[in-house]
Amino acid sequence: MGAFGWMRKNGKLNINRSIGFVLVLFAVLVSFIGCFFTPYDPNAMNAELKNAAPSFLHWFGTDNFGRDVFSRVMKGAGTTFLVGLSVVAIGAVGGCLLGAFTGYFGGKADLILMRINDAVAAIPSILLALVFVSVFGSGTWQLIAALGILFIPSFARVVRSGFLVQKELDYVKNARLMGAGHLRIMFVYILPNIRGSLLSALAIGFNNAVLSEAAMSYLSLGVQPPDASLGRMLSEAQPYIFRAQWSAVAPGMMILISVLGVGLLSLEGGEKHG
Amino acid sequence: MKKKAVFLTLLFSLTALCACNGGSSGKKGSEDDFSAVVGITQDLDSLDPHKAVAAGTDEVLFNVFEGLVKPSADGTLVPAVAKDYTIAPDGMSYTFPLRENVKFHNGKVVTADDVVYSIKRCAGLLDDPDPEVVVESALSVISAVEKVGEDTVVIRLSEPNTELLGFLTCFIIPEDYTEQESAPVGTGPFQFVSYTPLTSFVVERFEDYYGEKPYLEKVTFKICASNDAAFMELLAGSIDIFPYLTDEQASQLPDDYDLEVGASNLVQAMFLNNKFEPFTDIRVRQALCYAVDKEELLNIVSGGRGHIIGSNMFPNFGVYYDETLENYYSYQPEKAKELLADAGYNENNPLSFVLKVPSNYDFHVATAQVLVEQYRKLGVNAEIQLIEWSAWLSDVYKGRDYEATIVGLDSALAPSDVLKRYMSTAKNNFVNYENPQFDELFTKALASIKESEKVTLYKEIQQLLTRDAASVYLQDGAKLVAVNKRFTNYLFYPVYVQDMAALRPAE
Repeated sequence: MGAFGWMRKNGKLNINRSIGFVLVLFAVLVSFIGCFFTPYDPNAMNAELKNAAPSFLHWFGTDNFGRDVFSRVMKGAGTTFLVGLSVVAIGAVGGCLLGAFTGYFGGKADLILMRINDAVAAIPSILLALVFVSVFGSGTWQLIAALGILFIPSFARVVRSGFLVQKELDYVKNARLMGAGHLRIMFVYILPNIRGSLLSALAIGFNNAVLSEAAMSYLSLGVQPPDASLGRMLSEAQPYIFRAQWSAVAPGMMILISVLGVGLLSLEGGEKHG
Repeated sequence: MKKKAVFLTLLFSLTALCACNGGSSGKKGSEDDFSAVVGITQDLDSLDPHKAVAAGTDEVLFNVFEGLVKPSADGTLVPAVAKDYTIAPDGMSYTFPLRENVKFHNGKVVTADDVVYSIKRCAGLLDDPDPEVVVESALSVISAVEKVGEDTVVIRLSEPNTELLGFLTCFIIPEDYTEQESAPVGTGPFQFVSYTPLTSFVVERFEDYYGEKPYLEKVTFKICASNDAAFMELLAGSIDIFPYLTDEQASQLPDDYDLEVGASNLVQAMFLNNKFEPFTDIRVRQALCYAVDKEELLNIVSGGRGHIIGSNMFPNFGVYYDETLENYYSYQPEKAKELLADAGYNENNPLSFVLKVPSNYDFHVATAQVLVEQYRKLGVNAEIQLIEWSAWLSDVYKGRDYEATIVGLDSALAPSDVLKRYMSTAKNNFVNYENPQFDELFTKALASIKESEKVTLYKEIQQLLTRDAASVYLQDGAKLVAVNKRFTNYLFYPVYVQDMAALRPAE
C-alpha cells in the first residue's frame, strides 16, 4: 500500500484520484517553482517579439507585449492559487463559525442570520464583488476580501446542516452529560464528524474561487496589470485569439488542469463520506 | 447519446466558424455602387445636434449639418452657410455675410433669423433656453448675435478673442422646426432618412446642396455592439468603411480593403498631478520624461505608427505646432537617474506613485503597462490602478484626486482649446499646473490679432510646458481606417468627423 495507498480502493488503483493527484501536483509544482524561478522575467517586454509563436526559446510563445507566456503562466498561476486559497480560507473559517453557531444553538438568531445568509447568496456573486471592488478600489487584496465574504454563505449552509443532524446524536448528548462546554462540543466533537462534506465544499469552493478570480480579472477588476494572473492573461489574449492562440491557450489550460485536478480528487472523498 | 450530442455541437460550431471566414471576398456591404455602409461603435446620443454630447454623434451628424464655417481636411476653416467672414481688428466682433439660396433639407431657404437662433441656442443666449441643449463654454464670450439687413449676421463679444471661429462650426438649424430629435433637418450634403436605435442611422444625398454634390446616394451608419463585432462584420463583408481599427485588426485586413492611416488628433500623455508631493519637484517630472523610450513604446502599442509629441499639441495644428520639442526629452536613462538622485530618490528610497488608467481604453492600458515596465528598469515603482471611465471623469478629471493618469485629450480647431486647460484658473486644469508666465502668455496669445505674433506666442507656450515637464507627453496615435477598395478619397480631418461627401469611386 505505502504512501499512495489512499489512491487505491479495494486493492484496485482509483483512476479518478490518481489523475486528479497528478494534475494537482503538476499545477502546484508549476506555480510553486514560479514563485522563485521563471525562464524569463514575466514582465519584461520585447517589441521585436510581439505575438511570437511557440518555439524552443519561448515554449508557449509570447504575448502582445513580447512577454514570455510560459513565465507569465508560472507567475500567474501562483497569484491565482493564492487568491483561490485565501478566498476559501476566509469563506471556510467564516462559514464554519456562522454555520456552527446557528446550527448548534438554533432559535431566533439562527433564523435571522440564515435569512441574511440567504440574501447574500441570492445576489449574483460577480455583481456583489463588482460593488465591493468599486467601493474599496481594485487590487489583489480587495479581490480576496470581496470573494472571501461572498464564499461564506455556501460554507455556512453546509456546516449548519451538518450540525443540525449531528447535535441530535447520542454522542453529543453524552458529551453534554459529561459536562463538556458548548464550544468544545461544537469544534472538538461535532466538527471532525462533518469533515467529509466540508472537504467537498472546500474543493468545490477552491474551484469556484479560481474561476471567480479569472472572471474578475477578466473584467479588469482583480489583479492589476502588468502583474500576471490566469484571468488577466485570458483577458489580454482575447483580441489576439485568431492570430496568437497560444497566449490564451496556455492560461486556459492551466485553469482547466487545476480545476479538473481538484475536482477529481474531491469526487471520491464526497462519495465516501456522503 | 451523449457522444452524439457532443459531436453535433462540434459540427455546428465548425460550420459557424467556416461561415464567419468564408465568402468575404468580392462581397459588398451595400446593395449598389452608389451606397456605402460605415461601421460605428457608439449609438447616437441625440439627433438634435445641439443636444448631442458624444464625439461619436458629432462625427456622423457632420454629414447632415453645417455651421457658418466648417472644418476642411487641411485643418483650415472654410465658409459654409456663411459666404465669407471678417474679424474686427480689435477682436471684438465677427461679421458673416450669408451665402445666397442655401436650403434646409425641408426645402426652406436659410435666413439670418435661423442663423441668429442657432448661434444663440448653442451659446445659451435664448430667452427661453432648452435645458437639454449643451452650451458650448467657449461661446460664453458672445454678448450679442445680431441680424444686420436680410443676409448678414454680426456676433459681438464681451472680450477680445480672435479664435472663436473654430467654435462657430456649431450647426445651423431652422428656427421654427420642432422635430429635430426625431427627423433632423440641416443644410449638409446628406439628408436624414431613418434612425433605428442601436442598429443604424441612414442618410441620402441632398440634391439641392449648394456645393459639390456627393458621389454616394446613400450612406448607412451601422451601429455595432463593439469593436470586435464590427470587425467580424467587416470580415464578413457587410461593412465598407470602418474607422476604428486596432493595430492588430489592421494586420488581419482582408484583401478587398485598403488601410488608410491618419492621425488620431489626440494628445496622449501621462498626465501628472503637479500638486502631488514628488511631482511638485520639477526634477522628478523631468526624470520621468527622460526615462521614457517613446520609440519602443510606439513599436509595442501601435506598430510604430503613432507620431511622437513633445508638448500639449499635435502635428495637425500646422503652423502652431512646434516640432522641435519632439526630441526635447529624448530617451536618456542615465540623466533620469541623476535627476532622481538629485531630488533624493534612489534604491533605498525609490520614487513610487499610482497610475490611474481608464479601463475601457485598451490603448491607454497597454501604454501604461509599457511605461511601468520602462520605469521599473530605473527603479521607479509605478503601480497601475484600472478605474472605470465614469469614475475617471469624476475622480481624476473633475476631482483631481490622482497622482498620475494616462488619457488622450482632443481639441476643437483652435490652438487655445488644446492649451487653455493649463491656465491656473481653468476649470479643467486637472494637472494642477500653475505658472504665472503661462497665464500671461496665453492671455496675450488669445487676444492677439496678428497671425505671426500668435504663432510665436503659442510656440513659446508649448516650450514653456515642455521645459516645465508639466506632464509626460507621449504621442498622437495613428488612426487606422479600413476602406473598401471600391472607394477612394477617404479624407482625414484634424477634428473628429467622418466626411462621406468626399468619397469617390475607385477607378
